[in-house]
Amino acid sequence: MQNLAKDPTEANIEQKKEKIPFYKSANFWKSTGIFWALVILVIIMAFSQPAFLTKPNLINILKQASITGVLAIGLTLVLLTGGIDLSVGSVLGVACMAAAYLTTEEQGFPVYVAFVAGIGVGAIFGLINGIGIAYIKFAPFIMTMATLSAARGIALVSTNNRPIFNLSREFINVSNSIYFGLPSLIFFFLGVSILAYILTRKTVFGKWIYAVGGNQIAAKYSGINVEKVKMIIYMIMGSLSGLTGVLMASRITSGNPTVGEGYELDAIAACVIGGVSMAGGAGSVIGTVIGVLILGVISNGFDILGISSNYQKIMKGLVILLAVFIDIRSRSRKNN
Amino acid sequence: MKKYFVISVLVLMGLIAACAPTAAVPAEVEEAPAAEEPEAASEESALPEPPSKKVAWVASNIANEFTTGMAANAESIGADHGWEVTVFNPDSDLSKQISQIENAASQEFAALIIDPVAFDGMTAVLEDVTSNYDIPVITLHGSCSAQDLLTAFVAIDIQQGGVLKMEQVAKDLEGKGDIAIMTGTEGQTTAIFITDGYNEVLPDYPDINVVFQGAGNWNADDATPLAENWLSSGKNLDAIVCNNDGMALGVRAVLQAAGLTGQIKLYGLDATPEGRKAVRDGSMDASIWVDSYAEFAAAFDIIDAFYAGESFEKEVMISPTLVTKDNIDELFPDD
Repeated sequence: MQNLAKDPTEANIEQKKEKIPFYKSANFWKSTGIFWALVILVIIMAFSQPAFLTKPNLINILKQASITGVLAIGLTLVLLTGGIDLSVGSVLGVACMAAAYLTTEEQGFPVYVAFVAGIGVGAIFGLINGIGIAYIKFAPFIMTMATLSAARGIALVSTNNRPIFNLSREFINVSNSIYFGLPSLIFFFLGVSILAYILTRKTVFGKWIYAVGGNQIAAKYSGINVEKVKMIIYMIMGSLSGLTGVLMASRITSGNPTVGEGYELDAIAACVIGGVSMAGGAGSVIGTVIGVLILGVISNGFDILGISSNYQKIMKGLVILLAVFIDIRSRSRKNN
Repeated sequence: MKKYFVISVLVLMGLIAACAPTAAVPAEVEEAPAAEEPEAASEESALPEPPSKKVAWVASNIANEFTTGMAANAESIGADHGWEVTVFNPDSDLSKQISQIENAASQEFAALIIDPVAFDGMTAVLEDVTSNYDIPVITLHGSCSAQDLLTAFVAIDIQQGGVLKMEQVAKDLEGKGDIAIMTGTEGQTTAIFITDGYNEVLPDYPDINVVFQGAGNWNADDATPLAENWLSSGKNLDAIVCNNDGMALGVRAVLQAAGLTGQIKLYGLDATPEGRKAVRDGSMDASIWVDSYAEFAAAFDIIDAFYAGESFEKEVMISPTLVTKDNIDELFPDD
């Protein structure tokens, strides 16, 4: 900030640059590159399989991307602060069991109780992660890896590995209904994305998130309560994992203790493809949404082409490397 | 700092003691095998003496209804035969399973019953166990490449289950139609055997086309999006044939949401309690009863025969049973 103030001429140039329409500026292709990658991918899929570009299929992609999507949005916030959360899949599993247990025909609790319980369980795990990372100073990788293991254990112990069936009709409708022609899951994804966008772009707290991830020491000296910001972020992440657990229980119409295994990797992949930096401080919610859609298009497209899931895994690996490669190149050019 | 260290060590010890009631056992183990083994060797012609009343069930995982049921069967049937069964769960991790086999053998278990995580890769540990301990080692449900070293192999002829099911599919479709096959995790032997069973039958019905084949990884949560994608491909589907009930139940939810229940026929395998319910209410057309009860009954018969010095079959294959609406009340009257 001080550098800018010292050099007013440079600031003027910056201002002049902004007057050029964005779509003509040199930055346009660079900053929207990932979006065009999605477009190209969609075009390729559309030509390979005509059924791809039908309305029901496109809706399908959005629906299937929604659960990973909500996790990825949460992870974007975590990654922006320079942390990581490996426990999301396991926390999802615990919340899934809690929600399923409460809404069985025998228990018969109303739907909102499942949401409160699922999100609450998630928030508690998030709080534990947050305290461990922000105050006890465990490395985020270590802390959340421990939670990954412990939470999965809790999910399995809760029913002695057995799935829970016979959920109430009202609860099953949560993830399996259609509003305004769109599956309900999409609205959860959309809602979470919009809230996260507003949080990161339009609030002071959002500036703190970027500041903490960009330079923790500088953030501290400028008066930001770094520990508190981190703790809140992990709690948001935990709550979102809890939310996805509730949605998942409704979607698969059962509580399954092994649900969500490996989802943390998909969510991280979506963030990375969307340009979120693993080092913190750089990335955006919109980028992550596009990353989620790219992964969704790959898995749906390959399914309807009848390509084995083994090839999907190879493809996913290549896409991650390619996305990060583009990111590194565009960054190094900017720096030059 | 010291105080924290001492406290955390104490807490940890307390936790371990609380979680593992058998934690005290290893202390005795160290001397015991050495003392007993020469004894057994000296009484050459005498019957082998079980080193304890404990039998280990080393599962491949305990992650779904079927494998959970297996563990329960192991415990209850073992108890009927007078054994105390300890269940080991390696979470489908081969290296973990190998360590568990090593640990169980050195802890004086009287017999090991193993469902191998993978067909290959256990030869070394099994050579070690069978040469150092005179106890029955039985593979159950899945076999392994070191089968020659072992006491016996008990399994359901799972491929026969695939055959029975595909024959039922052909019968239901009157020999004509488009089907999708949803397999378990690709590369796993059970998934391969079941699907081989399908492929044994399919050449007899040239008018049945396999439009899709994909992996649903044995779970409802992976089966759901895969089935949705198949349905939205615009291709005609008359039946979806799944390698297990867990995936079929995920597909059932998709068919229900799309209003296609009954229109697209659905097949599972395992006849889990929830799968049976689905067969009863018509949302699933058939399943295969894979009877782990019979597997464990056979395994414990072999263990008893081993210690009684009686002869037994080295390979017991149990035929699975087709479960449809017509015979389900007969097979499961207690549901």
